[in-house]
Amino acid sequence: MTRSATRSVGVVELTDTESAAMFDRVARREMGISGAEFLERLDAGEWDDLNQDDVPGLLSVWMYLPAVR
Amino acid sequence: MPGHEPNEAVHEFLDPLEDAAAVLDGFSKLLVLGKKGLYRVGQIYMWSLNGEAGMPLRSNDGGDIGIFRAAMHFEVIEADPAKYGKPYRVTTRGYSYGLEEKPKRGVAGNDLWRMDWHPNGRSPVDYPHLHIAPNMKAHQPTPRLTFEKAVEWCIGFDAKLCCSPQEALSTLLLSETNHRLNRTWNERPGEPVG
Repeated sequence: MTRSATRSVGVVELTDTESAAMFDRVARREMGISGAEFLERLDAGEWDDLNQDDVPGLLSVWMYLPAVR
Repeated sequence: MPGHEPNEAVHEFLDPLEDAAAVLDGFSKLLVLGKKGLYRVGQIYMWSLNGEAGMPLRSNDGGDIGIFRAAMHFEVIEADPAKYGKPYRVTTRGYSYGLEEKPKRGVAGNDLWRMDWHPNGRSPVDYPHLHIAPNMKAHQPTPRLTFEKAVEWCIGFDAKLCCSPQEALSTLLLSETNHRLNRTWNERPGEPVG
């Protein structure tokens, strides 16, 4: 296959520290809160009775939960 | 996608996805998060295409299409060696693939479409579904959609490729076939199989 010079693909396994930092950045970007605050509010059940899709950013951050749990 | 060890199974699982991402022009890496040491059975991991930055896509005429975002939850499970040839394989536990408009003045753009499946999340919608503009709140039920299908959708939005369209589609077909041969359901988890 002919590739252009801009191709750059690979798999990178992030460390636990890097994973946690990315989780924090995603939480801030998507919901305007830190990763730690997200986890506190999640564990407190704040979003338990809500549709995940009805809370802006919630699904995007939830997708990154395996980064820290 | 089976492997003799969990690590081999994960790399057999990720390699075709790398190939699928590679047909799109631009910088892309599959970032695996949450590894916490060695891969092991029963732990949920995730990968993300370029992390929170996503993959900016340009069209064939040089314009901006938007940001392609993709993330997947996966788990290493024990496999029947009689069926899969090896004792471990990887199964998907959820996904979210979407195309977002380019940010304007630092504000994230709106989603153009999103393919989601989040069975373990906090939503009554536990089946695979599609959100598509203009009504992004509606959940359109779908079969299980692959990452390769999401890449095809990007191509449908005129995303610039690293190769000819024919080569891209062949690569995606090969990658998706590998996945289809190993998966256990298509429409709903637990569906009857013939």
